Amino acid sequence: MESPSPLLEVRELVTAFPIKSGLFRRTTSEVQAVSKVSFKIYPGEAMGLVGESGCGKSTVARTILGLEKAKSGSIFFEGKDLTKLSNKEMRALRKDIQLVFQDPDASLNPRMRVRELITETWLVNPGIVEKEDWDKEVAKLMRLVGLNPNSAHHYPHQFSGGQRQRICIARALALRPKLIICDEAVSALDVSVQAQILNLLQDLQQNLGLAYLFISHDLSVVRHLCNRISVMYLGKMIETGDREDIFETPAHPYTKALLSAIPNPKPWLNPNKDEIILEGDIPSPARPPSGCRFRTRCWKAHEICKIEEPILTPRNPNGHCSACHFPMLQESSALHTVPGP
Amino acid sequence: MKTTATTTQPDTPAESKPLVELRNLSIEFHSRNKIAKAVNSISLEVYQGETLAILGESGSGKSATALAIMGLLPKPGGVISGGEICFEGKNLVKWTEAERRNLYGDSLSIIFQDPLSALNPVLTVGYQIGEALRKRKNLSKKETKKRVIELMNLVRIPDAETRYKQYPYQFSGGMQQRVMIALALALNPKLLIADEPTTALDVTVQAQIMRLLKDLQTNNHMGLILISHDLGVVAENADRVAVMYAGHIVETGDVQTVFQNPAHPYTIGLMNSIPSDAQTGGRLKSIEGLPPNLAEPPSGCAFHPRCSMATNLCRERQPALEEIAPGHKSACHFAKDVLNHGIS
Repeated sequence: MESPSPLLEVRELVTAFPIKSGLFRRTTSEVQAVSKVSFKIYPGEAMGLVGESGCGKSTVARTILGLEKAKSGSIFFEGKDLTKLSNKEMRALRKDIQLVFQDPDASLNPRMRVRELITETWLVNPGIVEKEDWDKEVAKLMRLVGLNPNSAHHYPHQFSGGQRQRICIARALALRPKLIICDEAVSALDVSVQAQILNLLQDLQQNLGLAYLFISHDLSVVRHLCNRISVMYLGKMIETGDREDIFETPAHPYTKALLSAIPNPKPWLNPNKDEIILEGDIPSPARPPSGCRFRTRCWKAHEICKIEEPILTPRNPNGHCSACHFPMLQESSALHTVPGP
Repeated sequence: MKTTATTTQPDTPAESKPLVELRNLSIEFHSRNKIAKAVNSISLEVYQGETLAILGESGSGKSATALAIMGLLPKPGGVISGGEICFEGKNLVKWTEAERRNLYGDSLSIIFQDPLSALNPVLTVGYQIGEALRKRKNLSKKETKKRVIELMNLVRIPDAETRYKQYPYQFSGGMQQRVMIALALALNPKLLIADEPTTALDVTVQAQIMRLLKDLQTNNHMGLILISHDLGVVAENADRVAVMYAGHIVETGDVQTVFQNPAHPYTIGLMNSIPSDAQTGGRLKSIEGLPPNLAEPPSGCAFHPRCSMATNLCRERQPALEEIAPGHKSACHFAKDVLNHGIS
């Protein structure tokens, strides 16, 4: 990870949505969906952004793409601050960052054939592929994502869910991006199809040197694909680090609970797994708890967690950081007591 | 469908009779110009106090099976085209809707994946949970309320007195699912069907709900049919599992046996498809191809187009679900080989 400059660097990003109320719908307060989040992605690297619904992971993606406006903080892509670019400059840069959504049905126009869906990107961004090469390029892209080029004149409904997600990936690749943001890109797929798409994403990363920001609630999928992982909770980044550090020695209680909650297909292999079942629900992001946002569900919470917000603190030299007043460090993790159900 | 000759002798001790037993059940969905065979002659049984998981991907027929047991197949279109559904020895297939209605609540109950679409948005949660009590038990208003609050406490909805008067939208997804569970359990059913009960929920909430279901099942000694696509959820919560593919049960047995010594190529393919710590970063051994179109199922074994071991036999003859070890059945011509040597 000694690469000279990151491809994408997000610094202290805040994205907020106004809360309007009263007769004149005046803005009375705001929800900070993303609250001072920072991370870096290096070229060719896959970073996973994990968290439960409402933690702000999708808002991070939307803000990077300019679909939401950042309230403060900066987003550097190849050294340029995306939050300060004009719309025109942003449009030129946008082709380097592409997005694959969860639901291919919602992102593919049902009235367009696959060829049109892919070539549209070149129509909007001229100069990437010459018009006479379109057919050749479409066929190449379709082969690349494992689709039969002969079905280029088919409509999206003639494909299965997994194939439609392949179309979305082909379309994202059409502009030869450097970074692809996958927002729950495999969550809606059946396991056997999900495995195919994960393999495809992995091949593409290796062959094309793509970087991924892979957003998912599914930790096992993220672990498979990403070498670095960041965990978010209620708009805050609470832990970040290498895959091994996050999975072997999670330092934040929430990460630990999240890992423990993944259903294990072979539970009998480690019957002594200390099961952590969190109490309660995620609080509303509009009224986050004071101090540490996780304290209302945390079994280690003390008085200080209520008063003082913990900051991301390095736990080891590899960049493993966590934001907790009582981090579970390697030596103490064996001692920690399991809470009752 | 007379292709399979599935035998239906119970493999569990004869002293307990199954709570519900499906015998060669077939379900079809009719649309204007085609018939999709959603379920093909499946047989299974659930005993009191046990959890049977039906595991499968979308279109495998697992939800159709659940709906058929409940008598909730969509009309028109959904038809039970053969076989029997026996609940405590009575064949429900022949019953009229009015006769069946008496079973709902205290004999059979179901919870669905999406609680918000199962709850009525304009009625309070308390009213909806109490509906079954008022209709079936003729309880007074006061008694109903007392019982509803008991139920809400049972499913661990905090502050039940206040929540009683609230509407579904005021509840989080996990809490809504708790409401659904309270509603389903109001009359102490003997059999509860949980159709993907936690798929719409976050993992930490999923863990809460599964723990709750397990506790309630143990306390009430219910039979539970857990329908899921998630191998982890099945492994952690079920006693026995039936793996479905394209409307057929391809493998069944107790969960640990099936997951540790799978005897059907599809089960192995599923196990290989989930990312695990053993092969982090490596390629997943996914199943090639796509599930078949149920309106035009492949000849022979439904899985053969995606199976790496398929031979001419598989293309021609449909394998029967046969016992390969006590209580462990597989519908594969090469079940023994698969069991002993895995798939090539």
